[in-house]
Amino acid sequence: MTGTGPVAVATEADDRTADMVITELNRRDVPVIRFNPADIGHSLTVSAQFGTCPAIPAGQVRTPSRTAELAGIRSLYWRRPTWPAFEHLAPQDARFAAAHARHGLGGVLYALPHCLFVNHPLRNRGAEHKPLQLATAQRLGLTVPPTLVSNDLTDIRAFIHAHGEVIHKTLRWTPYQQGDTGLTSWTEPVTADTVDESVAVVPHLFQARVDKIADVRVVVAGTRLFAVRIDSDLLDWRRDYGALTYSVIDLPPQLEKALLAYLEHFGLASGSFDLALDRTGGFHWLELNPNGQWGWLEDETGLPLTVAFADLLMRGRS
Amino acid sequence: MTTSTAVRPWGVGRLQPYPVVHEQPFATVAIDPDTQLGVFLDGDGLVVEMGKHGTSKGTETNPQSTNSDSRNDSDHDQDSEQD
Repeated sequence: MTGTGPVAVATEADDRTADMVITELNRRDVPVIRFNPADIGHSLTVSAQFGTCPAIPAGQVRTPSRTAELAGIRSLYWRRPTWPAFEHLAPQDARFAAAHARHGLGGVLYALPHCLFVNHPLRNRGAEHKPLQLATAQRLGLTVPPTLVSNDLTDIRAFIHAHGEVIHKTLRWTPYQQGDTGLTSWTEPVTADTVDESVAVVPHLFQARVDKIADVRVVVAGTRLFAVRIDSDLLDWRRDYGALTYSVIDLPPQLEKALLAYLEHFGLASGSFDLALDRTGGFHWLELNPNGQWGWLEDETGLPLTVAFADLLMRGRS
Repeated sequence: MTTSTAVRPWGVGRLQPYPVVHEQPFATVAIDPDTQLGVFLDGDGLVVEMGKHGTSKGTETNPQSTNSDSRNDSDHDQDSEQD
């Protein structure tokens, strides 16, 4: 049986990309249940039974405005959910509560029986590890820039010397506040004398800088693939959206095939790849964002991304 | 036995501010029970029209910015931060 019930959208209330997709689903009369895991409590309840009837699990998820049978949920759009922190509770109580939200609500959702996950949260988690990403890309025949993950200063300096122009990337983004200012990492060149013993505290990622002429963002929704060339003078195009120009491009069929195989390898229904294009027309694989942003690309290029995601969610596993 | 507990990772020193901070033009967001769409409200509970443009830019601007659709790609799935 395939779910013929609603599309479930897990996200916070302020999510205009989700709004775009839900608007399209509404237009098609596809039922939607929207919730945010952080609302668990009286405004978000879940009941799931095991070992009591053939449906596994049997039960419902309920919001103030919608009720969905777990077995009927045709797809789950895991967009930008937040989890409750229970900050009003004492630390140990909060830890208990947060773990029960994740393992109770999360665990039930992970087990939805007839559901297409866009994406399955546990598959996202696996795919978010950059060393695993790099290994997978290389195995699939994609061109991967020479990369070092290490907390050994000697090895890091040797790598920088060997490859000349090298950049540092974080292995994982974390929220970081300095006073009222949010900080993040930007791709910037690194020299051997700017690294010091503090690299030994944890592994860091260093990568040979690609001599690129443009960046490419590839958004995949199911088996549909959309590639956008992003032109700018920036090493890291995220730094200034006003400085970017966008153009829709076709990728070589072999590359498209490898990117789709990449998502299949990780069990992902969608994802956003970052590639760099060099002056010989070669594509260098940089990274995958399993749950990448795409709303602004539709605004900039007119690509039918909302429609592609709505198609995928409406179809479910059929 | 560790001797480096007070040393911050080198990568922390590489972090830099986001380029722009916007004020959010709304105070709260509710979910419309009929459409399941976000309804943006100002401090007086009046609906704010967010418009289409700028609704979903970027992958790396300030998480505190107008548009949380512009958050870093990887923090969307906050599920992966714990356990």
